[in-house]
Amino acid sequence: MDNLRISFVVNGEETEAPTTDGDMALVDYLHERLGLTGTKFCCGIGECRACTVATRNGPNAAMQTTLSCSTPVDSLTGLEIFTVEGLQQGDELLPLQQAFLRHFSFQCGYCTPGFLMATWVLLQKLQLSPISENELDDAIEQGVGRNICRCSGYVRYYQAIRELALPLTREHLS
Amino acid sequence: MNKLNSHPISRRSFIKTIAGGAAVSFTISSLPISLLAAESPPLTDISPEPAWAPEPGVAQWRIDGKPKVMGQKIYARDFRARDLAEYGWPYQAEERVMYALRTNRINTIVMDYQLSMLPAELQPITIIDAHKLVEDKVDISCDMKKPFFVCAKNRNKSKSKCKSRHVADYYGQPVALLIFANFDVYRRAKKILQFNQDTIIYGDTVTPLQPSIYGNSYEYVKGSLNDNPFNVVHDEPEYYKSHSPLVKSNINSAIEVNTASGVWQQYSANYVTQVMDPMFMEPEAGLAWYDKQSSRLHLLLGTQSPTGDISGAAEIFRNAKCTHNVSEVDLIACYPGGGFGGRDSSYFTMYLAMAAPYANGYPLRWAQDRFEQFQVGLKRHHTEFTENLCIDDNGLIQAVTASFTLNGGGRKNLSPYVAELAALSVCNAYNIPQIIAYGEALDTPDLIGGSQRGFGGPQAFIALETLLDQAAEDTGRDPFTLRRLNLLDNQSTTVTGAPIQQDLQLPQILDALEAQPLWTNREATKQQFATQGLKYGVGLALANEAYGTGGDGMFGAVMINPDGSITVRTPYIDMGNGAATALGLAPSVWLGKNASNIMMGDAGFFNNLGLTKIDAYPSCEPSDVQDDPAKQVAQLSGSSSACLGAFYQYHAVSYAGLSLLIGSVIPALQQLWQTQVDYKLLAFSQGSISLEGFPAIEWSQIVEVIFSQQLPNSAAVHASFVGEFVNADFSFSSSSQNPITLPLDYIALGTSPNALQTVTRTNMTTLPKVNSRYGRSTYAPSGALIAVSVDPNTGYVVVEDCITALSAGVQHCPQLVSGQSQGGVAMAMGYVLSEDCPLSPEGPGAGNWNLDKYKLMKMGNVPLNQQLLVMPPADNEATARGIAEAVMCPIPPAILNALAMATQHRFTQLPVTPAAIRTAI
Repeated sequence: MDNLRISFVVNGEETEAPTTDGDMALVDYLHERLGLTGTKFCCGIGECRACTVATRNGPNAAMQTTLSCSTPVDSLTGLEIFTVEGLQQGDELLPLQQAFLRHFSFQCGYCTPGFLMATWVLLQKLQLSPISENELDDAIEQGVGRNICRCSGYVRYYQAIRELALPLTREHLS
Repeated sequence: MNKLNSHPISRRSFIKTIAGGAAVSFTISSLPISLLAAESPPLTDISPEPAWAPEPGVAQWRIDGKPKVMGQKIYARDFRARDLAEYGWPYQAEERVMYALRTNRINTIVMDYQLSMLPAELQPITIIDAHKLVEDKVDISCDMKKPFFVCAKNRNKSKSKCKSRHVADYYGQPVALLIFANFDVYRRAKKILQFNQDTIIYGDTVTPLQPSIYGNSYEYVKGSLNDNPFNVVHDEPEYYKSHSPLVKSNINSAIEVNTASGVWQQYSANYVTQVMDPMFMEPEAGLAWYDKQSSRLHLLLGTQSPTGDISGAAEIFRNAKCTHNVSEVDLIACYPGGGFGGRDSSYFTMYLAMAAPYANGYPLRWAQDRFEQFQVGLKRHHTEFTENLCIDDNGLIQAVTASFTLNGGGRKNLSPYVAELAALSVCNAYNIPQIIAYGEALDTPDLIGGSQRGFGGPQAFIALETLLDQAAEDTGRDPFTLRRLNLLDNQSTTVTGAPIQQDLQLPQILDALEAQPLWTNREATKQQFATQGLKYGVGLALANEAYGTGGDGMFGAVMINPDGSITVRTPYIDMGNGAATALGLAPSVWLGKNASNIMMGDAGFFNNLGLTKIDAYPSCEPSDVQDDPAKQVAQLSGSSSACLGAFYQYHAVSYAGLSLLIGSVIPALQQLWQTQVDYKLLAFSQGSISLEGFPAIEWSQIVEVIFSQQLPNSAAVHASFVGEFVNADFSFSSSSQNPITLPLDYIALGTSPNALQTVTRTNMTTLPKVNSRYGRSTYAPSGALIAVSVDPNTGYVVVEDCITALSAGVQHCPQLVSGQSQGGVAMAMGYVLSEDCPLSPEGPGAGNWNLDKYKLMKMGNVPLNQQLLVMPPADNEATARGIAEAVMCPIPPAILNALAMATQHRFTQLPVTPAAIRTAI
């Protein structure tokens, strides 16, 4: 049985899960097996997106958001998974994390990892495929608009995300 | 990743006698992870200014921000026993994991429960139920009044019969707690058990119990008698009680006569507001470990009420014959992932504490999922209320009568006090000469009500503000003008007859809103929307929400570390409202430096000071226990509600800083300058302190003297507020300016947090007894304009714009204030338009509710262009007002008034659904 394992990569590190964990939600696997509790459990049914992680199917594939509460481990084979713990290099925060700090975007902060990962994916998509400034609000809504925050009323998240995304629009790139 | 090892843990116990007479030792510790929040520097170097706030009194970001954007462990749900080795937990042991087998019917006999659907390898290793508690002499209900468990009828055959009912007292009351060997077994078993209709065997249907009233009901009568004012404050309690019926009768007669004759116009409505879930993002979770050898119960929780929680936990085991002896309770308080009142005296703690001994020495983990949270978490009450508003021909409000009935649900929690504040909020921002206001909370088997943001205020404001709007419309008066005619001012009184001691800034709030193009252009904008086939309206509302409870105690402590950095300690909890950040800035008021570290939820440290409350009405019976008079204070500290930070807790922390300035920094400066120093003449600039005529001295030099001369480096203080702060004279051993009068009732200084000495106190003011009858005396008034559009075909409402005007005093951190306002807008929108926990058997009580059914506002729903207009501080106002609850309060009535303009229909039932709008249109 030991050779039946599910292989994937979490924050750059190879991971092999036993098939007995195959029906486990990714968020539980991150918490229980890897001790990575930065990804948050909230609703468990994919509505609030607090559990959002980023995934891609190989180094050249596009990054996308994945709801870790609703994604079983046995569907992860070959995937690269990125969680909030993997965002910064050492003690240096990403501009994304700094923007959320400077804008006081969050309050209790429990939804913040989900917003961070959804925004991280959005920014990478915009880098790969720039859009026009007048399409930006729709892109933010598409990328992050379904994440729920109970405390903040979203305004300060929106302001931080827009500040980060605006330089990536076609008008600003040109 | 987790740097728990990098900080020393300081724990001190305090002894408390619990109900039943046993003395229990309690410890509450702040998570050392909280120290990481401000990047604690190495202790051997001189600390730079903290990165989160390098400029005194100004935050660049939240003090707790970095751990939150790095995904560090700060919430109770993040922790495992293995993370708690420093706390002495058995970190190498496997964790037991618990699941609650809950009833989802309230009118059916529970015959039995069964787990036969679980294969042998998934069976729990321990089952706790009503019988187990009886056998073990565990208090079956403790102070929760209703038992922990429904007692299954067919199991009631043992010698020690359980006296619990066989019908659930409320939706979700457990029939048993199941403890599984580890997470893997729990996970697999839960998949089988949750939503399985065969686990609990139900019998006959029974007639539900008639609702009764939880605790006290509250009635406030304000009027006149024999040409004198009559109210709670003016009249002595006995006189007030005996004459209330007469004054009520007079008010009702006046209403009848004057409305019949047409002298007064009467506007009345019956309202129904729904059960609302606080929906904090982190479902309740915690760890417990009972160490039988030491009789110590360890808990790790994210709670708004740490002190109350551990007392409650100890009392579960108070029976001297109880199998489980608990002589110590140790709580580690985490940052809660949201609160809004839903973690204030939550029963989650009681169940976890009760179950801990049954894990047989193993750590026990319990983490509710969202379905469970919806089923049994504390909620905003279903409220039915009636209000009558009487206005004379001049537009003056002459009388208001109101009655609020809150459905308290299956457990009492703070429901009676919420009903009390609903009644106390009835006059809102207006001077009303005659009032009858009644509030009660009912004991029912429904979803459990509790304290929620606004604490009864939102219901009261909905009633009065929508009736006023209707009155303005019916009498052809401008809504601003009508409100201006009736505003509370410093000559008028509240429902209790309490004076208005603050400048409420109500005229300024109205002026600011009235000038907005959103208001002045509303008719033109309505025409524009009409061309798109949409209805449009703008609504106005005021809310004069109180902060504080009418009698508040507060602790604060400030420490100077050897590296010169500052640490703040507070029993207060930051549930996201920014309290940690504001309190981290508080030392800058007197020390010119922000905190590098803050320890929130550090109640144990303060409880250990041994302060007791002065008995305002001593009995004739001499007490066996003589309290230390030097440690008696006017009010003791309570739970953490969101509005208590900015005014109350900030006061304590800033004055702890002043105590340290006087008791430590001044002596150091006197030594360096070789002169007497008056602390009021000092100036702080760029890390140094100066006095006219003397060279500026670097903070590092001062710190060096403090530590080399063994001067105090730690100050802990207590303050009391009942209508005003208690003052006292304090004699500092090192000060030539003694005694110094301060708005505190206790100060202790020491050369370490563990070696505090009481500073001599004299002349403590005794506040007038009447202050305790004010009810509330501190307010954060606000007003709002809300614009809505309504699609008449779908009934779908869009909140197009929102402008809030707020009296916030001196803002400690403007970003936190506007953030609270923005969050309050979103929450209020959900309250009015979408969020609903039906009380029917198909509602959350069924145990199958989640965010697919309970609709929260998302980014696309809220007006991202909303504005907050903060009034400049009033004259001589030196500090902030508690705004976190207030900012939500004007939004619901403003939305309802906007809907009335848009649809010509006054909605009196929440939520206003698209179907309700289609029907109305």
